[in-house]
Amino acid sequence: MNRRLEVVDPELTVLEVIEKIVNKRIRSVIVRLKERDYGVITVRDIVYKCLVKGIDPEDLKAYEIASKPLVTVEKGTTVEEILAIMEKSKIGNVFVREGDKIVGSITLMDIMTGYLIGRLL
Amino acid sequence: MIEIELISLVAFLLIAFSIGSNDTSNAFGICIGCRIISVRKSIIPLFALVLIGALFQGDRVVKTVGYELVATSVQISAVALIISAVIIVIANIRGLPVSTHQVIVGSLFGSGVAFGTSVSVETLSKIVLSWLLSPFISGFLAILVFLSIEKFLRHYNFLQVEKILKSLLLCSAVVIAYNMGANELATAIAPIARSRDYHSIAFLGAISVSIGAFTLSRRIAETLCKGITTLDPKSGLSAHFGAGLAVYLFTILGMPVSATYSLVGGITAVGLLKGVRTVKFRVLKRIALNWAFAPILAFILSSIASKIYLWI
Amino acid sequence: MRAEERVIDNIGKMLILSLSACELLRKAVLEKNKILLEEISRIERDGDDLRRSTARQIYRGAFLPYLRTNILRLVEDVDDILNTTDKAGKYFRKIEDLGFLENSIEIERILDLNVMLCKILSKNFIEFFKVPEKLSEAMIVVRMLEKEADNLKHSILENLKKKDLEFWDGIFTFNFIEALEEISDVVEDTMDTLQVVVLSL
Repeated sequence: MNRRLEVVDPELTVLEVIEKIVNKRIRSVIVRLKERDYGVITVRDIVYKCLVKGIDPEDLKAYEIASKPLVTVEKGTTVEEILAIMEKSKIGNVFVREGDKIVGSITLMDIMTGYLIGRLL
Repeated sequence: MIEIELISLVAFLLIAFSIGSNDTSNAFGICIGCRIISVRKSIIPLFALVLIGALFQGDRVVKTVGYELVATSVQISAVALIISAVIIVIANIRGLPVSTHQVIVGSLFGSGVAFGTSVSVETLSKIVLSWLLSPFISGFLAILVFLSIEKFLRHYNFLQVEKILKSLLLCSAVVIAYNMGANELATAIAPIARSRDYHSIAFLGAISVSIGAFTLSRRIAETLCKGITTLDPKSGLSAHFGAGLAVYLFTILGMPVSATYSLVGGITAVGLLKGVRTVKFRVLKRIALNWAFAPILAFILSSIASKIYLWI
Repeated sequence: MRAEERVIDNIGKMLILSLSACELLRKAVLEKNKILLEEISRIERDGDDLRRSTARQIYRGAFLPYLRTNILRLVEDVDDILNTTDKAGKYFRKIEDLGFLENSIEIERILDLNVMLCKILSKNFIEFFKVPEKLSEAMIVVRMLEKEADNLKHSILENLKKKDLEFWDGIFTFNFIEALEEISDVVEDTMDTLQVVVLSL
């Protein structure tokens, strides 16, 4: 599980979100839309919902392109269950919650890495 | 008469000494360079292998050079050996690579012609043909060895391969050291084989070879070895083994051929196979020139010396 | 034992030392316990001894000459893991304001990554010589983990920029983080050298 989460303000422009993703070298950011209501922005969202459409990323706010709802799993969910969820929702990134707090994320890439490391250790 | 025999014996021992100091590098040079075996430790197997080689299969080369090529007499042998020894010693001092075989065959033929005994041009052509062919055959065998060890070693892991390569290098050194006795030393023995007991001469020769190897061991890991060690272990071993097998083949046929030239053939062939130019063209040209020049020089000098001897 | 086996054995021992050093560094940083860093320096010196005796073995004739250069480079690379870990420890000791550690998941992750990398290397080291496929697989993983460490470093430095640090503390913190990431880099270098060695026969 990846515990590095970047939660951003929904009023941020898409350009600022891009800057965050690049500077922090992460793959996605969480957007806090309302209290306990989160969305996620991945590179995919930025490209499809903004750049391809020819919209200036400075004119678009983060909440406008955030994907909802956040797919979350309870901490302690098995890898198999997570994979099933990913397959069903056709996503590659789920978030892990502990109670009603989001504590981390798991991507398909993480699962692959974990699997490969497991073979070596 | 006794003086002449003594002088030719001394000349023979000098040649044997030079074989030891120059050509041990062909046999154990790589192993010493790789520190598989130390210089000191290599002397005993060298002595044993040279002696065994000379005793077991040396007679074939002796027959060709000492009986078929020229009908030797004490005088002919003496002149040929002295001239050979002089050329070889001077070449050694000047650091020029010459092949003992070529010098001996050249000078023996020269003095034979000058003395007017029966000489066999047919045998000479056979010998020259062997000289021409040996680098190519050695190259061919080297490639064969390379392909087969490549195939064979595929089933082993890194550490095992390393171990096997080391043992094979030692085997290859053993073959070449054996050839030193059966071919190279035998060539040097050939001129005096008629007038002396072969076994004791072979024994004295082997001792002289060992002393030569021991006293001038500094040079052992030099020269051609460098060319081989810059190759990767598999190619180097193949060139080495190929040359050893080629010379052995010629030994069986009774033909005196040089291990050094066979090695050059092996190295060049493996290099070509891998697309690397291992031996520079300039070096090859120099070797080829040397190759032609040495026996001719020996022939001329020996004829002149024989004429002078007859005139006196 | 053959000279070659002794060399491999020594390198294996050095790798175990580097794993211990990385684990100690992790513990020292997370518990802010600078006394543990002394132990890392001691381990580094042990590693130096091993490096010297291994180099001696190689000089005396272990391995074919063709392989020696690369084997020696492998030994030096492994030694470099220890040196870099020690270097990171020494910078850490000099930092007075450890505020940057407060809830820094990223530093903890880099420390974990380094431990994991050393573990992968030391645990499979002998196997790598026997099964080249395993080595290729490990190289992929190591490269992935190294990249993650590199990303983490940039992110940490990005955060560090925002902090108002005293000059020397800033320098030492910066160097500490650089060294921390360098460990993973050196592990990657070690893997590269190892592959060169294994492929060279």
